Amino acid sequence: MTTLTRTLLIRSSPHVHSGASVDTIMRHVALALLPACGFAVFHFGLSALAILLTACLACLLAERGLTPQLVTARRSDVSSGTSLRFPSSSPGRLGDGSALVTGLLYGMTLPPSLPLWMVAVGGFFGVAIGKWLLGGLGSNPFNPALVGRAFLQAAFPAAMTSWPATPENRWVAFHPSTLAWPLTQPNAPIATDGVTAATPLAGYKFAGQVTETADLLWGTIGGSVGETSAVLILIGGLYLAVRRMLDWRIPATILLTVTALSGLFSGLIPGRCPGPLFMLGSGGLMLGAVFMATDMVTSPITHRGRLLFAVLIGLLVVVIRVWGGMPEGVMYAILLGNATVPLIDRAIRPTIYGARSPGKLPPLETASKTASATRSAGADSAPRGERPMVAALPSESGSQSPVGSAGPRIARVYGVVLTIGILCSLGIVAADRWTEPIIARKRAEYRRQAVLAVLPGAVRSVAFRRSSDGTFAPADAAEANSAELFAGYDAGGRLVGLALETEGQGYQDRIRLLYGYSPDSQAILAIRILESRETPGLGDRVETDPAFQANFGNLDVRVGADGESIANPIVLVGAGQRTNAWEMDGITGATVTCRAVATMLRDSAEARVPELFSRRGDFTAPPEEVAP
Amino acid sequence: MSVTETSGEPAPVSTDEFVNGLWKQNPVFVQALGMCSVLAVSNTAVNALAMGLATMTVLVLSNLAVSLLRNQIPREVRIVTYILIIASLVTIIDRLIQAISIDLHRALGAFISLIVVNCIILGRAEGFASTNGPWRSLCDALGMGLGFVLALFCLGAVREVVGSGSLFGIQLLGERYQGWTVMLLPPGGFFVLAGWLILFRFLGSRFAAPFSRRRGAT
Repeated sequence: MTTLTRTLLIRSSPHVHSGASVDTIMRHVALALLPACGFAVFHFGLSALAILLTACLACLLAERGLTPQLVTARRSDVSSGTSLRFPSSSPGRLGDGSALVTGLLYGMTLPPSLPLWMVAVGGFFGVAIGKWLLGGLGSNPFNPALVGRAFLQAAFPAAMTSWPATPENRWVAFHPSTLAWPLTQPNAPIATDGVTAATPLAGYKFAGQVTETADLLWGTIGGSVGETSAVLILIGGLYLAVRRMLDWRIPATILLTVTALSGLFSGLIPGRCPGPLFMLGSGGLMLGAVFMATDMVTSPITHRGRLLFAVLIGLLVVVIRVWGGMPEGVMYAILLGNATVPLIDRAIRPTIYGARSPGKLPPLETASKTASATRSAGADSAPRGERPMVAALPSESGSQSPVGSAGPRIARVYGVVLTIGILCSLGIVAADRWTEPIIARKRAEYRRQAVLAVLPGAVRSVAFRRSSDGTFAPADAAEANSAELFAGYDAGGRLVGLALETEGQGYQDRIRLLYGYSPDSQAILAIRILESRETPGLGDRVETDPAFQANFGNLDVRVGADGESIANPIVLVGAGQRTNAWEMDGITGATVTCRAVATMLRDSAEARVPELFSRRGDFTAPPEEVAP
Repeated sequence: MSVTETSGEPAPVSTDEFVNGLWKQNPVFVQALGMCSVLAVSNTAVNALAMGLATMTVLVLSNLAVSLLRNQIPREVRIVTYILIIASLVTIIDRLIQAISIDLHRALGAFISLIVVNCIILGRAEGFASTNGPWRSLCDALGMGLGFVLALFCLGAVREVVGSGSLFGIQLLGERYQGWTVMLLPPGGFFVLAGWLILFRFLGSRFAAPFSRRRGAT
């Protein structure tokens, strides 16, 4: 009952019914999306059409299949009080159109080459779990379309971040990957050698390319199905705003925030942050700001709340785009914004009709009353819970130890704990003494394997250290455990190369790797990842991908004429575009990890190789004693 | 916590305790305990098995130790003493795993040390071993431990097969299989755990009723 009263008090009368129902609003939203969808089909061809249709179908199916059970369950849940808001959403109906709009929006955020079965999985997830399990129409905290997309991003990161070029005959043929069988990889390898139509943001972040502003405006660029054309999305948004079915303040504030921040940061850190026009036109910002952030269910109620919400989203977009690991961040920005909505609605309350200032009335009081009730209950129960333990002591001790005077009792307690402690310590020491040589041997073997793996042909590795006079000498046994520099020798005792350890920031966490450097050919021979938590199946492909491994062997780190720096610093290029010996091919879909590896190698080589090259004589003679 | 123990009862045959942990009071699927390691390291079958076996070893040894010492340990400091015993055992297991395989130790990471705070172990020490004899405590620990191993393996196997198309590192579903990466990440752990919980609830309601009275389920 209190819930009901509270609801009525917050939304104080008078209300005027605008005559719009969920039905009509959704019909107009779908209409407003049509121009952008039409352009998507024109620009990306048959695949885009198939994706949009599949997305809508999956969402409608999920709606149709789940609504009856869940609406019944929700109605029986008296405390939710939400079914009051939309009494018209009767079980099993597809008619209110919200699933259709979710499907359209969801389809528009997907890459045009995504296999259709993935589209269906994500759409079903978005509506079934993102919408119905989290509350149903009117109560879902997150935008269902974005929940579906976020699920796909987590489940199939490779497919969600590859942007192959659109086929020439796009109106009659699908992308090779569109019709892939469920659970299998696409037939054709995803455009390894062809030109990839990377999104402008990815192009900027990973290759420093800037796209023409006109292209950004009209949408003749790579990107998700329906997000490319800024102009058509804006037209749709204007139509809805004029019809008052969309609060123009939200998109306007988001776009203004992004403009201001990117203007500021592109001045402060040029090269890292693109200018405002580029920021506005690229990626999913327009689509997200106009159609997703304005979702009535998942945005705050008050104007001031919406301003705050929109500023937050704009800020997050810029932060993720400029400093994040991924090029695009609109999806996560909006989802995070959605998550703050209940808090915003709680902090900023609408003015009550006739009252002078907002939010001075009941709800908080009820809440604090409940809280204090809980607190006092907790205060009551805590001692009650502990009492038996305390009370049990005398009787317990009486039953166990003969006479219960305090002194001997405490002595016994300490005695027992001390004895058990000593026994435990002895156990640990014994286990430690027993395993230590085994562990040391395994560690040394592990390191030796790694060193030999990065120095093909070597059969023996020796740890080296740098002496105080700048020369290099074999490390003794104690230092070998912490050494980062190893020399590998082949069967004939000739120097194969040097193995160096380096580390850097990857996509998830620090990556530690060992690489083999040959002073003779002045090249990096191979790498071996020692420690990494990169995304399985994606970032960890730097270890397994044959094309990426082919970068090594002759990766050029020649020392320049001055003898103090590398002649050609290592650079990462797109997959299959390596032309010079100092360039590295990337992996489609694992760009961040590849960049991290390339950067680590470049920095480490610049710091260490000139010195090692000049002192290469220190390593040529293999040390006498055998310490494998 | 479960309250299955009936302390006065002389029980030479302890299959009851054993089956109890394995199925009716399964620590993961019924009691939902020890979720931290369950969700974090069940991404492959090997990791899951190793983690399960490590936990089971600690559980068996600590239950045995607590049961043997139950009349010596003063009541006021019993929790401290249990933690002391458990932490020592975990430290020893940690060294043993390193000695067995460094790769395995890397994969399990900090979660080996976190066995100390696994509530199954302290729960069984306090809830069972402290009031029962060594033989019954051993059976209880074996049942609970195997139940934990079973649960972890169920999760790990499904996550590895769906996530990367392999089991124990052997490719099962062919080269062309598109792995669901999300299954190898923490969210996948939640999805798979939810699936198994649904299955266990269903099986429980279907088959458990004829067996015996349902005891202690909270």
